Amino acid sequence: MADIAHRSLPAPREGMLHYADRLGEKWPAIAAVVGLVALWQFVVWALSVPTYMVPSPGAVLNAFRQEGWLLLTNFWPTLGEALLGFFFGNLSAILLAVWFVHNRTAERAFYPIAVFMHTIPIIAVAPILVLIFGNGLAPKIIIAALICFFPTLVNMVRGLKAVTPATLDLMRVLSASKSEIFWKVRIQSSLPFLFAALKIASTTCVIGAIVAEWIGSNFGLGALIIEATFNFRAPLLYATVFVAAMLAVALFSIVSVAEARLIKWKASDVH
Amino acid sequence: MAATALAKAPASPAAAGAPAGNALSVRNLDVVFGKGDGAITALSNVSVDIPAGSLVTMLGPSGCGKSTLLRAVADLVPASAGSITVLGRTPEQARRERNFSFVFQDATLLPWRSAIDNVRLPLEVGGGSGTHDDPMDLLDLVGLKGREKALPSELSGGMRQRVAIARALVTRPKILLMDEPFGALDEITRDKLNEELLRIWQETGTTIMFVTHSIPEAAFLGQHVLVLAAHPGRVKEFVTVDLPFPRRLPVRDTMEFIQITARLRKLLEEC
Repeated sequence: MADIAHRSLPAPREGMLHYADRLGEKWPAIAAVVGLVALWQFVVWALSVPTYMVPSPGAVLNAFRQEGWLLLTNFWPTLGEALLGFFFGNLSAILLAVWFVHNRTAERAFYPIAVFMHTIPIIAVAPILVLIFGNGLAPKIIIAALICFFPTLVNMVRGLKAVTPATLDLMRVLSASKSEIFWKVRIQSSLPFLFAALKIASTTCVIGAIVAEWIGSNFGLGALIIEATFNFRAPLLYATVFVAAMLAVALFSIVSVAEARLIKWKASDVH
Repeated sequence: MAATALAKAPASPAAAGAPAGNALSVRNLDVVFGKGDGAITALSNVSVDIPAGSLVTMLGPSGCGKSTLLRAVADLVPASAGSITVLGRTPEQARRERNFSFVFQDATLLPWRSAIDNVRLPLEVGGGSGTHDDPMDLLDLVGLKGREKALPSELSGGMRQRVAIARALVTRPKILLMDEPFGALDEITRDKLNEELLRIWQETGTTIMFVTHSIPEAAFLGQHVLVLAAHPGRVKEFVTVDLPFPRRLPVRDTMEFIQITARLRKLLEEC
């Protein structure tokens, strides 16, 4: 009864209700986070853990207040590298996937190489690129791009091929040209696959940028992480890690929102 | 016969518009899949004439090649021997001139397009924006007025197939090729669509070739029933159904109807 009454509430208050409903859904997560932070604070206090080893949440918060400017100046380069890496990595993956779908020989020639390149740990590639491109932004962008590249290539190839034989029959009966099939069918049906990959890329591009900054860089969140670690500035280290995580979460959310806007239909076999 | 006259005058496009004569003429058609020892003969020496404006159903056990015959007419499968004449043209010419439409067993709607945009698809590809009907009127004709903005995922199976029929009709085809279009639907929906197909046929004057594996459906819809035998696929008999139009569902309870279905069943058992 109560349930039915709740559902049939008048429409004008729907917005507020919606908000309240979502808060109702989210409270366990919020409570868990608050609880864990409180536990962290308690353990650090109870066991008298030294700050250079594990700082308390209060100390990390303090680092944000005192080192805010330092965090911000190192945030911008990492953001730029991650975004440019995301853009170029995914763009080249998409273009290569389009080429593969149109040219079987190209796919047979280069796909195995792409797979092989993916198996090389990004951490091993980073020094090589630093040797080639020096200490500037370029190697960081390239590493961020490389890390985005492979999942997008694989998913995009799958997506462009995810057209049922019946749909191809239909397009043939309609005498559709190859380019019409590409633009009207293949691109559209690849979008869910593409966005599945872009969501992965949105977080890995941040990892790529930070890993690149670990190797002989004097700017960026990655460099700050190394510096804070070597100087036992644990609160700053934690604050930096938190900023990096927030960056990844923000990029992921933007991609998710774009996906929800662009794809209103449900694809059956995307994971 | 008129068929030979048509076959001898393929250069005369005027013959296409003539209501008399055959819309479709198949002569000694063989369709063989594969080569050498593994070759499968799907159709062997099939000859049939489909009068313009008629509704012919094709019935046969699985493996009799009824779908293959339809696909050969639609230029989806090449003829290995013999000839197919569609309104005095080759299947390929007829396809390019949009003389026929094809309705598949699955609705094969593009899932990201709304109902109305799916109906518009034939006008957007293959240079096919010539003579056509208003997509909105066609959704009205198939009983989907008011659902034009719905995505395929928001429509029932029967509604999706209605959209597919509207899409097939939008180019004003002279011939409608239907490959078990209602095969995946429940019986109640199927009955309803059968009646509506007869109404649409009488309103549009289109020649319809309809593949089914249901004896009552073949008898209820068809002016003629082309019974095919299997292994290899060949013509068993061309049965004329002597029931007046417009036919309504209760006709299936009459003695005449039952006699016809009994005869068809007997023919199928001999196959």
